[in-house]
Amino acid sequence: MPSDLTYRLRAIFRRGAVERELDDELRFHTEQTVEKLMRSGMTREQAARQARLTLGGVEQEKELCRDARGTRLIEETWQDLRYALRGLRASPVFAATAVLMLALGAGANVVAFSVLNTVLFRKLPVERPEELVQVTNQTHPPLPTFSYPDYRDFRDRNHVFSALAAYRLFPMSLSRDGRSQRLWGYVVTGNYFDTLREGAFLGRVLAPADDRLEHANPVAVISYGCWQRRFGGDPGIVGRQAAIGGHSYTIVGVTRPQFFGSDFLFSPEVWVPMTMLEEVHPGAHAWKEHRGGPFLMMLGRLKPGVAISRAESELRGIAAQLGREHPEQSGGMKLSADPPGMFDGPIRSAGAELGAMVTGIAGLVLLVAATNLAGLLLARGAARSKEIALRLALGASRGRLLRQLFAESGLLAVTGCAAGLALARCLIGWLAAWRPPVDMPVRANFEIDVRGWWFTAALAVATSLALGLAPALAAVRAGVAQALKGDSGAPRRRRWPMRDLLIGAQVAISILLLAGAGLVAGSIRQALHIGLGMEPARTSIAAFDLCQDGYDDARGREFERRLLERLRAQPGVESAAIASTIPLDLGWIVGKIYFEGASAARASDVQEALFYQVTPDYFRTVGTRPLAGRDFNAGDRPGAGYVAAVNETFARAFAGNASVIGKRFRTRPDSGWIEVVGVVESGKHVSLSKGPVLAVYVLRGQVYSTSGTVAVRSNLRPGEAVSLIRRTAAAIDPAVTLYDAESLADHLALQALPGRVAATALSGFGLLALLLSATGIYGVVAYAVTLRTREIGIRMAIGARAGNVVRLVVGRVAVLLAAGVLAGGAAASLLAPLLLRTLFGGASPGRFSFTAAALAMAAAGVAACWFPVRRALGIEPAVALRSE
Amino acid sequence: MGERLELPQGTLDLLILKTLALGPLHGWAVSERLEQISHDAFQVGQGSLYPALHRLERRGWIAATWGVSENNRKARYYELTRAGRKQLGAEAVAWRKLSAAVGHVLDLA
Repeated sequence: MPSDLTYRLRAIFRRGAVERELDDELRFHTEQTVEKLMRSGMTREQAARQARLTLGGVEQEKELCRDARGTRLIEETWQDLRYALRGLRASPVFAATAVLMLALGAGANVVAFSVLNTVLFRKLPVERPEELVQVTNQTHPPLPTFSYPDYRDFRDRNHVFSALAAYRLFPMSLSRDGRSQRLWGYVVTGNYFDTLREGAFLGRVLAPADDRLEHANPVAVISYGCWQRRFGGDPGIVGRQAAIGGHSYTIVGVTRPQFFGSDFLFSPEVWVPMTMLEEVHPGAHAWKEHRGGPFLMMLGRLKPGVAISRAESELRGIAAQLGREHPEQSGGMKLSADPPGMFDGPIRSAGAELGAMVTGIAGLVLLVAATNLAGLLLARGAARSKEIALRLALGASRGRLLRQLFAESGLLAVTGCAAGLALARCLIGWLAAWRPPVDMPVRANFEIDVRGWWFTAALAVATSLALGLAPALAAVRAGVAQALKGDSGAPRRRRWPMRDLLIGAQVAISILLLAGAGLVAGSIRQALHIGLGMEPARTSIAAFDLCQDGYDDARGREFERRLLERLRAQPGVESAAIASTIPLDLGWIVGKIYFEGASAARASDVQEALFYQVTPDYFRTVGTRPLAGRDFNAGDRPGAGYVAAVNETFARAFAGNASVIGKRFRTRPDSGWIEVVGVVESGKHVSLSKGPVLAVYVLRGQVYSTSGTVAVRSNLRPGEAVSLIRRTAAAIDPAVTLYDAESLADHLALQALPGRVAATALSGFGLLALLLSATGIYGVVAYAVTLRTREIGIRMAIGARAGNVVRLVVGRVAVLLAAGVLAGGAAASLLAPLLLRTLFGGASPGRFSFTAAALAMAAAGVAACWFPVRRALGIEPAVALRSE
Repeated sequence: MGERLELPQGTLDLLILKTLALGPLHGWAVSERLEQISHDAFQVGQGSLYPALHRLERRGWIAATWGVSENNRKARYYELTRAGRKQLGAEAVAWRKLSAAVGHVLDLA
C-alpha cells in the first residue's frame, strides 16, 4: 500500500518533524480539555490538574502513538546500531583489529570464490552468450582440435547451429618502422565474428567475404588493447598497413575493449582470415586439405530453442558418419559440446577441484577469524554482564537485549566484509592484470560479478550470526541475581568448552598451512638443484621464430651461423649454442626410437624419446655433463651420416651396462640410421618432478627448423648477457624478434611457478591463520583472567606464587596449543603427498618444515599470553576482592 | 455522566470513521463528538484516541492536515479518504450483522 509506505518512510526519515507534530497535537488536546474544564468554573490550575488526571501520562501515550506508526522495529534497530557504534568507538583498537581480521578472512574468501565462479560459470561478454557452444575433440588431449575438412563437414551437415566457426591460435610478429614485436593472434573462419555476434569498436570486423579466395585477403582486426599498446590509440588506425610475419595487411577494425576473444584463458591481439593461413604459418596451407591433421578449435551458436545436449548428440552422429566415410583419418572421434568456459573438459574439473580446495582453506581461515572475534566479544560481554543483568532486572525484554548484542556483531561483520570486498577487488584487479611470464597471451580474466556480491552479503550475515551467537546467549542466560551480586562465573561450565576446542583447531589449521607452505617451498628448492641435468648459473638465453620474420630454412641457417660466430667473438663469452628447445621449455618434440637389433612386437611397444636439435658446444653452454663419447664436431655435416648424443637413461634402456657408443637407431622403420656418438647425464625435461626420460640430441644443421633458442655461457651478469644477445641479433637483422630473453636460471624457475604460487598462497593463509590463532589465544586467556580476577586475588592472598598463577591462567591454553600443534603436524604429514602430487604431478621428497611451523606457533602463543598474564600477575589481592 | 462502557476491540476505529464521515475534525473534537453522540456512554481518552487516529492514517483511511481551530489555534485536522469511506461502509455492515446476530442469540436464550 503506497500511502502506508510513505507514512512509514516519513516516520523514519522525518522522525524529528513527526515527533514535533505529535507534541503539538497532544498539547492542543490538553489545552482544549483545560479550557473546557475552566468553562465549567474551575481555575486554570485546578483545570490543568484535572486534565492531567483524566488524560494520563503523556510519555506513555506518545509511546502508544509511536507503536501505531508501525516503525518501532526499525527505529529500535537504528538505536541499537548507534549504541553499538558508540561502544566500538569507545574501544577503537578492538574495533580496528576485528574489522581487519574479518576483512582479511572475508577478502580471501571473496577472491577464492570469484576465481571459482569465473572458472565455472562466467560467460563470454558477447550477445546471448548462453547460445555459444565450444565443441571439443577429446581424442587427442591436450589439444581438443579438428581438421579443416572435418570442420567443413560439421558446419555443413548439422542442423543445430545457426553458425559454426573454427579458429586457431598462432604466434605472429608485427613489424612497424623496422622493429618487430612478437604477439599472438587467431586465424579464423569468415563467420567467426558472426558466430560471436560481435561488432567492431572502430572500422569493421572480419566477414565471410574475407574468407573466400586463398592468399587474397590480407586484412586484420586488432584488439582494443593492441590498438592502445602497440599503435598508441592512433585514431586513424582503420585502413593503415601493418606487416605481420613479413606480409603486409590492412587493419580494417578494432574490437570492443571488453572483448577478449573466444577463450577465457587467452587474449589474442590480432584476427586474420583463414585464407591467410599459409602467410601466417608457412606450410600450414597443406593442413587445410589434410583430413587427418586436426588443428582447429570449433565454436558454434545454437539455433534458438536448441538444447546443448541435442547439439552434442547430433554432432556425435556426424562424427560417427565421418568415421565411417574416412576411417583412417576421422575414425573414433570423441566429441563433446560444452558452454565455453575458462577451461574445458577435464582441465575444467581439475581447476574446479583446486578452486574448491582454495575456497575451503579460505573458509577455514574465515571461520578461525570469526571464532576468535566471538571469543573477544565474549570477553567484552563478560565485562558487560552486570549492565545486562541490571537491564533485565529493570524489565528489558530478552529479545531486545539480544537484538542489541547482535547489532554490535552485525556492525562488525558488515564493516569487515565490506572492507574484505574492497580488498578482494584490489587483489582481483591485480590478478587480472598479472601476466604469467610465459610466451603465451595467457590472461586471468577474473572479476567479481553479481554472484560475488551475493556471496559477500551471505558471508556478512553468516559472520554476524557466528560472531553474535555465543556472546549473546552467554549474556542473556546469565542469572540476574548472580550477576548483580558480582559472581560472574559461567553457570554451566563444561570441562572443555567448544570455544577452547576451537582454539586447538585453529592452531592445527595454522600448523597445517604453514608446514604445507614450507614443504612446497622446500621441494621447489630441491627440485631446482638436484638432478637438473644442467648448470644454469652463468647461462642466458633468448628464443626466436625465424619463419615469423619471413625467413626460409636457408636464410635461417645463415642467420644462426652468423649469430653464433659473432657471439663467440665477444669478450667474456665462453661458449654459445643454439637448440630447438631447452629442456623444461613448455613445448617439446617426441619421436619414436627403433633401436638397431631390438625388436618390438607391437606398435605400442616402441619406446619414445624427447628430441632436441642442438649445435656443437650446446652441452658445455647449458652445463650438461658429458659422460662418454664425444661432442659434435666439424666432421658432422649435413650430408654426412646422422649423429646423435643420448642421455644416460636412453643408454641404459637400450644398451644396459654395455656401451651405446657406435650403436644406431632410427625414428621410423624406414628412415635413415642415426649413430650414437656421445652420452650425457640425464636431467629433468618435462617437469621438475617427473623422473628421467629418454632424450636424444641430434645435430642442428643435419636436421633443421626455423625456431630455436640461443644460449650463451659467459662471465657477464645475466642482464648484460641478455642485452648482448639482443644487440648481436639486431646487428645482423633488426627485424628478427627475440622473446623469452632471460637468464637460464629464471627460465627454469618458471617451471616452479605453480608451486611458487601455491607456496605463497599457503604461507599467506598460514600466517593469517597464525595471527588469528594468536588473537584467539589472547581472547581466551584474557577472558579467563577477567572471569577469575577474584579467584586469583584470593589465591594470591593465601600465598600463591607467580608460577601458580601463570599455570592457572595459561595451563589450559598450553595443553590446547600442544594438542593443536600435534594434530596439525599429523594432518600435514598425511596431506603432504597429496599436495605434492597436485602441484608437481608426483611425489617429491622435501624437507619437512614442521619444526619451524611449530616454533612459530609457540612464539605466537607466548606473545598472545604475555599481556593477560602480566595483568593476572599484577592483580592486587586487596583491590580485587574489594572491587566486586 | 452515565455508565461508562468498555469499547470492544476494533469498535473505536469504526466510531472514529463514522464521526469523521460528516466532515474534517481535529482529535479533540473527535473525542467530544463521540461523547456527545453516545450521550457520554463512551469516554475516549487520549491514550487510545491518538494511537487509533495514527493507525487509521497509516492505513490510508484518513488523511491529516494542519489547520486553524475555532479558537484560532493550530490543530491537526483529520478527514475521511475515499478508501476510508469504503472501509466505513464495510465495517458498518459487518457491525450491524454482528450486533443483530448477537441480539438474536440473546433474545433466544
